[in-house]
Amino acid sequence: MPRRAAGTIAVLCSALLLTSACTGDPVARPGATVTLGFLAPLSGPAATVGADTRRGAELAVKIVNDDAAAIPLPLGPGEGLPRADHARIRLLSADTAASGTTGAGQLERLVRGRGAVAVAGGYESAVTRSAGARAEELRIPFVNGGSSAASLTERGLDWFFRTGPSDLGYGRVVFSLLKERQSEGTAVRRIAVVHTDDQYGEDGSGMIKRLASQVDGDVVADVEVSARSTDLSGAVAEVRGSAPDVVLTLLYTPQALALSEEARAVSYEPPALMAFGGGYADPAFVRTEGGDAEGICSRFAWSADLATHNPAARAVADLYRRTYRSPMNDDAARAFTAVMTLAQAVDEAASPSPADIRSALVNLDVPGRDTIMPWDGVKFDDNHQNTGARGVVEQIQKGRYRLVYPFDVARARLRWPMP
Amino acid sequence: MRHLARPQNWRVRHKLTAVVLIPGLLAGFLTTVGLSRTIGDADDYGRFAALARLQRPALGLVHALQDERDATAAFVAERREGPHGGLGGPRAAADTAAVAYRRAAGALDTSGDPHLRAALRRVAEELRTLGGLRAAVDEAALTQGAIVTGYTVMLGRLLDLGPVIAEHNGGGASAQRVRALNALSVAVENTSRVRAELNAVLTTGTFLVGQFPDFAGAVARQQESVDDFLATTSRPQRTLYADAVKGTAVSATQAIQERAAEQAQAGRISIEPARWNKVSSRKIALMRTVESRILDELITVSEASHASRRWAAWWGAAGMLAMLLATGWVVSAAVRSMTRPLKTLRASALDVAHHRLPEALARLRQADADDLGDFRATPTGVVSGDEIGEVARAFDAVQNAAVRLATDQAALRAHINGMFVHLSRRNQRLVGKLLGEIGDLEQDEGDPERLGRLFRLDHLATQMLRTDESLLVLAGSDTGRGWDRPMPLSEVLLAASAEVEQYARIVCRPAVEADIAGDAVTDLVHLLAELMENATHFSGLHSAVTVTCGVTGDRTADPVISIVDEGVGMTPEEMAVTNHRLASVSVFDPEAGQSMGLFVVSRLASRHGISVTLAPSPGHGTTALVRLPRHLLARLEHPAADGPEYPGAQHPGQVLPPQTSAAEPAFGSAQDWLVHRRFSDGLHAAADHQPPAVPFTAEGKHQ
Repeated sequence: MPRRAAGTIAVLCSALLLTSACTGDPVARPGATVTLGFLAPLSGPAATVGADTRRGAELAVKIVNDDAAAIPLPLGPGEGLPRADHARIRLLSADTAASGTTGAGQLERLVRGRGAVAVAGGYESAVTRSAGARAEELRIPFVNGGSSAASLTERGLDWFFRTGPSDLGYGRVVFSLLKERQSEGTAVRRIAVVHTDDQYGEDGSGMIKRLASQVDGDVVADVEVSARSTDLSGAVAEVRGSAPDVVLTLLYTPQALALSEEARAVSYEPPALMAFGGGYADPAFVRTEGGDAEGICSRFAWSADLATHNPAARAVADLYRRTYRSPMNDDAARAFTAVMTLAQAVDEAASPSPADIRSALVNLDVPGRDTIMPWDGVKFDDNHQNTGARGVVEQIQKGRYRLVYPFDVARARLRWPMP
Repeated sequence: MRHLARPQNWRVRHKLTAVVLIPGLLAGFLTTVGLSRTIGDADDYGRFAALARLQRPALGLVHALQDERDATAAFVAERREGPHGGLGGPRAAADTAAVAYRRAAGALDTSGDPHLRAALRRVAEELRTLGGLRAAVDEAALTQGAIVTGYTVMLGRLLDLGPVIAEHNGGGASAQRVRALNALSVAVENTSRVRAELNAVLTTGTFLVGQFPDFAGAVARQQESVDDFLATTSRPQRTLYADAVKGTAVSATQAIQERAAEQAQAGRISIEPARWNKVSSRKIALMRTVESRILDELITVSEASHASRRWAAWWGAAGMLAMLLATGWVVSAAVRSMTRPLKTLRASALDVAHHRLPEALARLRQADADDLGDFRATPTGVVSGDEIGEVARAFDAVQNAAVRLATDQAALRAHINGMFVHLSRRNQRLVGKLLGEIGDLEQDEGDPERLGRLFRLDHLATQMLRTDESLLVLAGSDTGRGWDRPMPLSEVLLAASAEVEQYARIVCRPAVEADIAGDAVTDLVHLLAELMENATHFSGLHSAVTVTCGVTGDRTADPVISIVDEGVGMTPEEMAVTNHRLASVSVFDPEAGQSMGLFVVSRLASRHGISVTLAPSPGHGTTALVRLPRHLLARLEHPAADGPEYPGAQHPGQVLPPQTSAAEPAFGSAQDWLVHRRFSDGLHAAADHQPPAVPFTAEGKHQ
């Protein structure tokens, strides 16, 4: 090759390399779009919860992409992701159909087929577990907000993050309530547990057994029901037979409805029923049960009562109501927070690279005032569990959940025993 | 310019500058670097001192916010059922401290310090949330944990200023104190958090689920931070801490913490929250006392370091300036001490070479050696005792040696000239006697052929006599003959031609009538005879040499005698050399001996101010131009434009007599001149002979 030709080729190659180096990531280009996936049970027994979570996720994307100046959140004012040259987010929702296999498949389809660089969502812990494992294989960040099984963040996964409280966190707030009641002289030693036979239920049951010692209590009944069962007559009988001071449940909506129906059928009314979310947090449960659900408590990560005093939460809740013509609930808020957290990580990373997004998630530190949750903030520990996540306890009073614990922020007095 | 690239061609000034320049630049560079570092340190120390001063309002705000946080934690733990007025005091104190902090931070120059600017910005952002946090407390919008976290984050931002300050350069003493201060501030903060947490626990009456591990962790962090402080700090500071943080309150604080831990599993903790709050606050106050003392030390030390560095910078700058000035003065003086003598020496050498020595040599050539007895070489004027002075004195010695040599040569030449004169005089007398004898024979000889041969002998002897006179001229002496009355120019020409061996080839055509002053006659005749001799010698035997005299240009011009031969001529270079010799009467050169006639001409011309030059003839050959100055002319008449030429001047060897002349005719032919020359007084050394009757015809031919 002539020397001049070789020199020309070298110069052209150098120019090409320089040009490519200066071009940077696609996100840096104005008008670029970052695709995020979202998993939710859009069909099946938890379809209503799935719909709520999807609305919360879509509302978060809408606030990020639009110039939501009225929303006092970091990505509210201004369009798109400011540090990623105002790239916009495209959210692709996929139905897990309450199936772990489906959830994992949907996640892979979102990543490989639709170009998602990260995934949020997940409700049932078992589904989330499968999807999380697939995300680990694909090396894609997966930010979960709705699943509470403690084991999800105890498996040493590198790509799985949870913004919401784990069952342990929820358990602490529930048992703190019990302990405070106990310090005031209320008997809470006999504890009955009714839980599903899946990850959610089993992990929750184990957690309850561990925390029972905090109130010097005993688990007098540990009733396991199928996650697909709607016949809980045996379970009610077993609980009734143990004469518990308090019944703790980890059930999905069908089982929750079935338990209430069976208890009504046998005229059994426990002194107190405290749910670890699940079906009891489903607005459909409250609507279906109506006055029969009065006095039931459930743990939540979000509170509509508190939201009225938090400017960001109030603005988001109002926007949610205007957009979807229904009140924002705990599931929607957690999904909203998970997607918003993921969006903030993409913004911090200023890159569509999954590895960069993961790195940004690891280093993320969002103060509580920059969320809509009554939390200390969002900051992941070594297991990628949000250390700032906190839970509250609400009780159905006059047909709607009211914040009753912690007492310092309670908007209604806890009614114990249940009316 | 290329020669300047070689050091040997540099001027001494530049050489010395080059010698000094590199070490000077290096020293200047190193000094500048050191001074820049000192100035930079002074700036750094100044900034550090300003930051240390900022710590006072910053830590004041930290303390106020800690108190507010802890009071708020207790208030919230009481389910906001306690006296809300209890928060008024801490909040007002925090607001006052925030105002002081904002004022101090606003006055701080953060340009060029992005870390500090970012830290201050983060603090400002957090402080802006204080109002919202208080509102959340008042409206129960946030849980206790979120509220305490909000305050703690705010305090963390303020405490982050400490490490930012520690990143700055404030000197070793300041660095140690800022490290100790930061460690103690963290310890105070952790102690305050323990106070807040146990406040909440004791107000609730029990540890909530998960609360005891948090409390235990807070206690552990508190102890760890105190240990860190004690490990970081100096012995006096440790002593200060040990002396200050002690007493009943400290012991009670420890005891209450232990009792609370012991009762963690109990349904109700039997410890009065107010007592805990009192003793723990007292302990925190004691720790803050130490913190304040260390802060005071830090400010004092940092300001002292800044002042010290600033003075060092000033003195360094002054010293550097003084050093540069002293160095410049020394270098300049050294350069001057060399260049000035060298310049003087150079000027003296050039003056000697171009003026003094040539003048001296000229005087030596033109004067007697005795005239130079008082000649002394002028010293160069360099009186220094260094090598340059020695060179100057050596040059003076060379100059004196040159003068002595020239003087010796002048003496030698004067001696040789004396010998020339002596020999010439003797020869002149002998030739005079010979001419006298020949004249006597001519008078007695009747045979024309023999008379002709005698005349030729006479002519040759006359030429010998002219040669003697030439030697006398070369020796700088008088020829010994003279003429006491003006002589017509035509007769001068005739006399000159008569002294030439081949006088018959000479044709004289004077165009002007002039009389030559008497004192110049004999020398002019000699001069012209030499030129005519050359003309006949360097031209063909059968060619004529034409001698004319005229005036070129206007009538005020000097008359010029032209001697034109038809010889081979001279090259321009030879012509230039010859003219130079004719013009330079005093210049001797090796070739002067081979052109003695020209030197004689030069001497004679110089003696009377006559200009003699050679020029190419119009055809071929050479023309000698003899310009007669007016002072040599006793009379000059220009011929009419249409005036008649000399009718007889048509053939070689003929000279037409002047038509009119104020001077009396001295002779009528060449032979008459020779006779007259031989016997006239003053013309001949042998003046005892009488001139015989002139046997020449008007045409100058021998009869």
